[in-house]
Amino acid sequence: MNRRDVLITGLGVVSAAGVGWRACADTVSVLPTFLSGFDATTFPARLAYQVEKLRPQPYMKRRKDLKLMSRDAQLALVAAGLAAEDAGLLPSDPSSWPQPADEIALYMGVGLEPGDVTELGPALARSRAADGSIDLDVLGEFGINLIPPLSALSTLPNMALAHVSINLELMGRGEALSPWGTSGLDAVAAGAEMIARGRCEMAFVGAADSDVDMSGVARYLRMGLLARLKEGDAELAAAPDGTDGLVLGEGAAFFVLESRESAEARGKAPLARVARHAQYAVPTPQMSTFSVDVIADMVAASLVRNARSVVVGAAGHDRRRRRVEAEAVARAAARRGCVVTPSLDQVSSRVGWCVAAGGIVDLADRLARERLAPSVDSIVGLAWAPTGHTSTLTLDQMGGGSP
Amino acid sequence: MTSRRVVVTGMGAVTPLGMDVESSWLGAIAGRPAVRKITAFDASGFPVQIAAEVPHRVIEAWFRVPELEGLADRKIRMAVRSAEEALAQAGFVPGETMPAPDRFGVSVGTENGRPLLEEVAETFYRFADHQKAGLSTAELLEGVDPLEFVRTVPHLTATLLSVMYSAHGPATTCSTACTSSAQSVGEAALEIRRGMADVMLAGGTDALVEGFMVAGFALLGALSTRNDEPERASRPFDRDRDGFVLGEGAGFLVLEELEHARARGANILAELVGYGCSSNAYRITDSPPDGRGAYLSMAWALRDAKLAPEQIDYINAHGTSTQMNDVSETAGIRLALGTHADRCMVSSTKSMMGHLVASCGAVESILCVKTLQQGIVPPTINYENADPACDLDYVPNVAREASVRYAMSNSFGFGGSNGTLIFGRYDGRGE
Repeated sequence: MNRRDVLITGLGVVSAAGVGWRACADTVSVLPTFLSGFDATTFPARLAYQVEKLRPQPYMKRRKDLKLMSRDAQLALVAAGLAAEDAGLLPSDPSSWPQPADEIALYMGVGLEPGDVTELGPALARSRAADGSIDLDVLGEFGINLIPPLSALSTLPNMALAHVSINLELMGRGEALSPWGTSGLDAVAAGAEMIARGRCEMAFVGAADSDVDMSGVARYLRMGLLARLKEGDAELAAAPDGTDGLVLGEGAAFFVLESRESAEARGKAPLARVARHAQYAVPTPQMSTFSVDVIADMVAASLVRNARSVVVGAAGHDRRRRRVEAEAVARAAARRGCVVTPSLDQVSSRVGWCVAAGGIVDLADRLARERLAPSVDSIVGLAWAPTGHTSTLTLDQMGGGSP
Repeated sequence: MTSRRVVVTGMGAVTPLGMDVESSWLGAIAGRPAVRKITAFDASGFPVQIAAEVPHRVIEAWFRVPELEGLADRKIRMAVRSAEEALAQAGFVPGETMPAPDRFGVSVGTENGRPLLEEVAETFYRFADHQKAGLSTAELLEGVDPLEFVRTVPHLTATLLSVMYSAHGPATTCSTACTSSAQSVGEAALEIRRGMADVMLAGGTDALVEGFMVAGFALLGALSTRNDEPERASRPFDRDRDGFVLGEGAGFLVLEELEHARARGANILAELVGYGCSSNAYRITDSPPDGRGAYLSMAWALRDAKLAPEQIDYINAHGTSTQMNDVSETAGIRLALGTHADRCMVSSTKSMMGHLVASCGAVESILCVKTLQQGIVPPTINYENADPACDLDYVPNVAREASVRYAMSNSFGFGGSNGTLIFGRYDGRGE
């Protein structure tokens, strides 16, 4: 069975650098801003890369559904809608697309959806017993009616996928993958595999994540992953040698993937080809290991020999991880005998660590900039999860896409 | 390139019907209901007071890795227990005979880890008291165990299984609500087919019988309120069904590339021949009455398996016992199988073990494999009155002996995520 070429024909990206690929590409540098979603004045980490002016309404079938959409879902829908537009597909009229809805796949990387505990506040306050614990009898009888009816659903990670599929009428193969930091790149690979094997002609693949809320910041602070940046420290985030941890971001990116046959049939020039994907695990539930050897192996397997390549790193601001990645890329280049030494671009140091969407937002950001100012033949995206899982995704045959 | 075939060489399950595959299977074919009054918490004031539980006292005793103990919540304990059983049946013994680490992966269907409602309340009250006392959120945070946060990561189950069994190959987690583990098993099969692994430990786990989820699903009107007769509450396709019953459990399969299994002399239980998935693109909470999304999932699976609809002998339905799902699934089956739908046996084992949510696809796949092996189709119990909108052969109330060559397992999730797996009797042939 011959594998078919899989091309990227549409790009949608939303990050602190901008909404849309051109806005992201035009943005030279971004600084983190004070966390705006809650009172972070006493938090040890108070800065993050946050998306401004997010408007999902143009892509929504029913605007009243906005209240059902988490921030992740809103980011996802905007990125997917932008990708559709970039691919020449009218988001408001999927019936005009070249493939029927039944045959367009949707693979999405998703993050944690812990729900909003403050939604439970009135119910919990109503149900507090004299001894300070919860009185389940009171909750059952009175408090339960104070819980928003959809609060249980809002904790299911596939809700963002659901909103994208509903609003863009995507009924083909659909999966929500949640391997944490590698979610986005793994989703691209899963969608690409379906096209390569002839199971579909077109797929929307991407990821979205926003953890710049109180529980997200608290989570990653207590895991020891975040740099402790405060007001006035924004410039430190741009320091060449990085910081003592990651800086959270939020964002989403989607690609429209298409078989070469489908793209050519409708005269759509590609942005790049999805060349290969690799995945490896040295599981570390204690969130401690970041192995030079593993990353060097992964990058070596992902590089296109003697091509001008850039490796989009996943270390972001974290100076310890940056050193590991730099060494790994150098080793990988030596092992592959590359004539052209690949460069290393720490994109997440300009858009923040977007967690489940991190790998694909970083890759999309670089792809957007390549579109305006081509400089390489190949991009290797690198993503890792703090649990020790690593993924790479290689793009080659770079092009500018249709005007 | 020859397509790599995927076979099942091991299975493990923890369900409300039993602590292993055999007892779960025997409970299913006996038509034994496992729905009871909730014991996990005091639900006596709740509108819904019933569930299909795995005894919590038993779950707590499982887990033999002291250094990881703090990370293991109920769903992880059930996952480890069922994974152990599956690996043992496949002939893999940790520390002795295991697959090559680089060619061995893990694929898990599960949701976020969740603190219990009582724990959420405790944090909330502590937070409120701190605020009254003028203390900061940051000061409160310093007292929170970091593991509380780590336990919420969906990928933690896959990570722990990878650590315990030295699986360094593909590791993924699918989180598509009730379809999670159908998709995790399907994704694992794809990893083997595409040559990324020779062996995958694939399945799912979930434990939602706790205050918040019971309250939340009750508020959606999705749960049965037949509190006075719990054993009759889950009644898929019956006219008088009034919602699903939450269950909990885990199921894992050892999937293996056929030649790899043959080379080591493994006992091949069945072949996974087809996988399909789709999205409804309809509504967040509702199933489309025309069953279009369900149909697409089944159609993709049939196409993947290169089977005609007439070759499907049995469908283990998603069959939740909600008004909407059962009508939608019936319509989907009719679209997918055409006139053969009238001859195909369809049953819902949720009538006995409740809805295991993220783990139902894996557990019900295991029951499909047992059906292929044993020639017995589990029944749909509590089927008393026909619903004109549900007009298939639901194998009512009593198991049926039948030769089954191909069995299909359906899973459909909140948000409109669908997954279908098709298993076939292994024909004994190699490539």
